[in-house]
Amino acid sequence: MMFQLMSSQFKIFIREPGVLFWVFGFPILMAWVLGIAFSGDQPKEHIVALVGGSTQLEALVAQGRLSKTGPDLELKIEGLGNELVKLRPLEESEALSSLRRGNLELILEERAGELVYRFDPRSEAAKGVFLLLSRGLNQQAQTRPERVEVISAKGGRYIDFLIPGLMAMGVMNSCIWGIGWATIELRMKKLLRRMVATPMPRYALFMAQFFNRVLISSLETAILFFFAWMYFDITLQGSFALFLLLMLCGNLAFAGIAVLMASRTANTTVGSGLVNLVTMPMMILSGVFFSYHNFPEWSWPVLSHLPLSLLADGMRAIMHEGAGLAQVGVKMGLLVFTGLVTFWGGLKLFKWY
Amino acid sequence: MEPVIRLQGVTKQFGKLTACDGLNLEIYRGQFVGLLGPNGAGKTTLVEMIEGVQAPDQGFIYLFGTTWKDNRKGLQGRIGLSFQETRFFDKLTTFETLNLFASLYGQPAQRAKDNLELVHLGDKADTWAADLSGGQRQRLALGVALMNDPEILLLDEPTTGLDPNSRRDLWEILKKVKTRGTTLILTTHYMEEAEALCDRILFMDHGKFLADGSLTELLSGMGLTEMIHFELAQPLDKTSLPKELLGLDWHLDETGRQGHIKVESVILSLPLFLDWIEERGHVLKQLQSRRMTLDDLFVSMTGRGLIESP
Repeated sequence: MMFQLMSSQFKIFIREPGVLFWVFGFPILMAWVLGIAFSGDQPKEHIVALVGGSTQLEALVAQGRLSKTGPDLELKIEGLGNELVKLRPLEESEALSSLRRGNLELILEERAGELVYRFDPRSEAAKGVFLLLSRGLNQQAQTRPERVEVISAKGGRYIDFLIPGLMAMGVMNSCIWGIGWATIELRMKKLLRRMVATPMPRYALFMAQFFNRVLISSLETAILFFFAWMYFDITLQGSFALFLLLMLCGNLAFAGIAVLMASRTANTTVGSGLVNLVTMPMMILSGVFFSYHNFPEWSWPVLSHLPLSLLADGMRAIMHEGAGLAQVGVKMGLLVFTGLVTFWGGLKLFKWY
Repeated sequence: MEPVIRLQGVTKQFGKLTACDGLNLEIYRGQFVGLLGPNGAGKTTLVEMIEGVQAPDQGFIYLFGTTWKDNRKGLQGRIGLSFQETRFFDKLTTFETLNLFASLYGQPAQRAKDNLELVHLGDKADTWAADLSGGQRQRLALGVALMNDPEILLLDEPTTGLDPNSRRDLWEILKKVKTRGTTLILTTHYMEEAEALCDRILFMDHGKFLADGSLTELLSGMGLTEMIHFELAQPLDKTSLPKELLGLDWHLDETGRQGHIKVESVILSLPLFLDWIEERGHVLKQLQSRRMTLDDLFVSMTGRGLIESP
C-alpha cells in the first residue's frame, strides 16, 4: 500500500513538466547564476569610498603593501577566500549618495591619524566589508588607531535602501499576480471566453485590471510609507507628484509584462511557474534586498536596466536624494517603453478562446 | 421566411479528424432545436462555430443574414450562450456575477435582478459562486446567457452531470424562455431532454447530420414505432413462425432466447405473438411492450449497440 501511494504520488509529480523545471532546473539555474557566472575564479570585489585621502594608506602603497590601479588602492585579503577591497577616492557628497543608492556599503576617512569606518551596522553586508577591510589593513601593518562611526543619518541606512526596493517589488508583484495570474485563471475557468462573448470591448478588461492595480499598489505603497515614516522616520525628499508618476510608469511596465506572461497559457501550474520565472530573478538581481553592485561590475549595466531595478533605483533617488524629472526621466521612459512593447507583444500572442 | 441561422457547407477539421463535414442547415425564429449525438460527434464544434468562438475551415455561417466576421459586435448583443462548463468568480455572489454581466451587455442592474428570479436563484442572491451546487451553477450560467434577452440562445450540454430534479428545473426555465419567441440550439446526449424541450431534433454523428425533424416525424419516419421485448426459456425457432409475424422486424441476441420485435401496433401484433408462444409450448420469462424512443431510433441509425439480428 505504501508503495502504491508513493508510486502514484511520484508519477503525478514527474508528469507535471512545469513542476519538474522548478524542482530540478531552477535551483541549478540559480546556483549557476549566483555561484558560477557571478563569482567563478574572479576575486569578489568590494568597493569602499575613501574620502579626503589618507597618508597612512599612501604610506602602505609606498611600502608595496597596497597596490594601486588607476585611482583605486587595492587590498587583497589573505586567508579569507578570494576577496579584493577597492578603496576609491571620492568626494564626501559623492560617497554619501553612492551609499544611499546602495552602490557601496562603507566610507573610509582618515581623521587626525585615526581611520574612521562609516557605515550602518544594521547592514550585514556593510559589517562584512568593515571586518574584511579592518582585518586586511591590520595584517599589513602594526595596529593603528581606528574607530567605527555609525551612519544613522536618514538616507544612508540599510532601511533607507530597503524600503523603496520593497515598494518597487510591491508594484511588480501586484501586477504580475493581479493581472498575469488572474488572466490565466480567467482563461482556465473559460470565463475569459465567456466575457469576450459579450459586447464588452477587449481593451476594457485590461484597462480595468490596470487601474485596479494602480489603485491597489498606491494603497500598498502608502501603507508601507506610513509605516516607514512612523518607525524609521523615512521621508520623501523629492516631489510627491513625480514619485506617483514613476509608480504609474512602473505599473505600466509590469502590467505589460503580466499581459505578455499570461498571453497563452490556461494551465495554472504553468502559470505559477511563469510568475516565478518573471519575479524571482528580478527579486534577486534588481537590488531589492541587496544592491546589484555586489555582482561583478560587467553585469551592472544589464542589471540596472531590469524593470524592477529601474523602478527601485528611481524610487530611491526621489525619496532620498530629492531627484527631479531630469534624473529619473530616462528611467520612466524606459519603464513606459517596456510596458508598451510587452503589452503589444502580449496582445499579438493573446489567446482569447 | 428568412432563417435566423443558416449554415452552408460548413466544414471544420482538427488534424485528421473532421469534426464537422459539409453541414447545411436552416433554423427559423422561435424553433427549439436539439442537437443530439454521442461524445465526439461534433456538436460542440458546431455550436462554437455558430457562437463565433471558432471559424469554419470551409463554408459559411449566417446569423440574421450576417456573419461573425462582418458584424461581431452586433451579433454579440443578440446572442446568448453558455459553454459546456464555465466556472464563475468563486468569490462573487450570484447577484454580483449577474450584475457584472449585465454591465458587459450594457443592461441595467434591474435585468440582473429579473434574471435572478427567472433562473430560480432569488434565495441564492448573496451566495458565493463557489458555494453553489452543480444545478445552481448551471442556472447561473443560464441567467448570464439570458442577460441580453437574446434572440438566439446556444446552450452546450446545460444539464450534463445534473441530477434529474435539477435537470427538470432547468427545463421548466427553458420552457418559460420559449414563450418569448427565443430561438434555441441545445446540445445534449440525453434523448429525454430533446423529447421534453425541442420541437426539432438533429441527430449528429461523425460530423454529419443523420436525421432532422420533429420527434413524431422522426419516429413515424421509421414506420415501426412500437416494440415488444421478450425473454424465453428456450431459444426461439423462427422457422415455425406464422407469416404475419415472420414479416416483422425481428432482433434476437446470440442465445436466441432474448430479443425484440419492432411493430406498427402492439395491439395488433402482441396477441398473435402470445398465441404462437402458447401454441409452441414456449415459456415466457419476461415481456415488455413500449413506444420507440429517440434512443431506439439513434441506435437503429448508427448501428451501434444494436442486438445482432439472427
